[in-house]
Amino acid sequence: MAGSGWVDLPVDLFSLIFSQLSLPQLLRSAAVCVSWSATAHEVITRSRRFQFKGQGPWLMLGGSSDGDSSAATFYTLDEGREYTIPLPDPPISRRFLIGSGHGWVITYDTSLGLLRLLNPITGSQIDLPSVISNPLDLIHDNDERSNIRTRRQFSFSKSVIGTPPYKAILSADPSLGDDYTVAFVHYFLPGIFFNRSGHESWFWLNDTSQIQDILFHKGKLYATTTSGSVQVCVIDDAQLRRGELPTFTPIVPANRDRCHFDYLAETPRGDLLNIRRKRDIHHATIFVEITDAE
Amino acid sequence: MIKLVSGDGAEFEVEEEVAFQSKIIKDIVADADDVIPLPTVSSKVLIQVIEYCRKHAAVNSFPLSPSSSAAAAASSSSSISYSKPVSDPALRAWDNEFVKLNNSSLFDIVIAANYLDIEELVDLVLETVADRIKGKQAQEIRRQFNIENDFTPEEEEALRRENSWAFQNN
Repeated sequence: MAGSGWVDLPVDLFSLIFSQLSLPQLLRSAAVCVSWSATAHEVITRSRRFQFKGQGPWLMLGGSSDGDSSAATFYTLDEGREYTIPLPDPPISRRFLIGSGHGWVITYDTSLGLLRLLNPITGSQIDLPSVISNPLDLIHDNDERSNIRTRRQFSFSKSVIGTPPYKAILSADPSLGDDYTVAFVHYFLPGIFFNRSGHESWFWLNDTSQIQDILFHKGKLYATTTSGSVQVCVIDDAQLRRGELPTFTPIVPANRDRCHFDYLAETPRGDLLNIRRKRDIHHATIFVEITDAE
Repeated sequence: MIKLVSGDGAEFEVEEEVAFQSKIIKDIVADADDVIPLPTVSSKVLIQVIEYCRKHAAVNSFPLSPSSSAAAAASSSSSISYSKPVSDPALRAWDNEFVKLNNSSLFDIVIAANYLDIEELVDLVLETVADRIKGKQAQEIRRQFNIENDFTPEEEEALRRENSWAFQNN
């Protein structure tokens, strides 16, 4: 074949090129020729944890611009353009979007009380245990000093089910086959609810003050509270099986100043940031302070 | 001095620190003589690779220019750092000029750099190639890299249908 040689580069070198591309650019590159197609396929399947270093964050703009209720439009920050991707039923326009992570979107259906994980690229969906049909398995810490823990069932009221959680998070990519945790916080209830993959019910962590933000970072669950503290806990399967809930350890102490909101964010290289937004009595932002939370 | 011999028989005398930008040459010299035959590397490519190594050897022996040491100090005082190590901006600019070559020359250089185990040069060339791919449709990539479309129409259609959203024109 005439050419500059770029059809038969060693796979190791190809993978260094492909790892710098975004996912849509990799898909377009796989359509260049048989050799690139086979190599792109090999690079991705050889390492399921293939890192798309060139994949920047996407913003989900909700429904598609042409009114198709079963497609969603995404804006890519790196390419500065939109992609409209068809999505599986039920129509995305009828679900609440409550979170995202690891390439998945977390949606909520108020009529079924159902959280779903949706991968917009592959079209895969995972239904999490319904909060209606599987009442919350509340492990309640009755008395901290005597360490007595009792298990009791708890169900959400209609008004709670009819209101989507205000934020949900995902700890790991379910398509890699590892265990993962989904956690959410709700407007009407204190604490954090979470479900481990393989468990049929939800657990309620309410040993902490009112939550402002939650984030999974390096396998641990971080939370900011209205009292200004940042807390961390580890969700451990063995501990859950013993009927015990993880407990939070504060890493940033409480702060009396309540006129702020603390957010958590992870940078692309893996730093954990605490973003404190201070507001005046009219809720106008006065300043934003960013600190390393670790 | 170390003598490098290209595939077409040309001899190049270079300082050790220049030749040692290649990990392979460093390993060979440790237990052999100082004439290194490189049968798969043409003299044209070897000249370019030596030019790169000479520049990087010079900068690495005086690692920080005043401007970059200021940048390194600023970065270490900040709690947020970036994935890439702080590199000398002047060297970065030199690298960017160095790779202003056609794709065929870049291919020859990356194969030689890979063979000689000059990791930074491999990364530099492959990053450049990735940048030339970004934002392009398959047809534009074929044209740029002189690659023949050897799919059957059915195969190509199937590939495009599978993830048709990725092929939308902006």
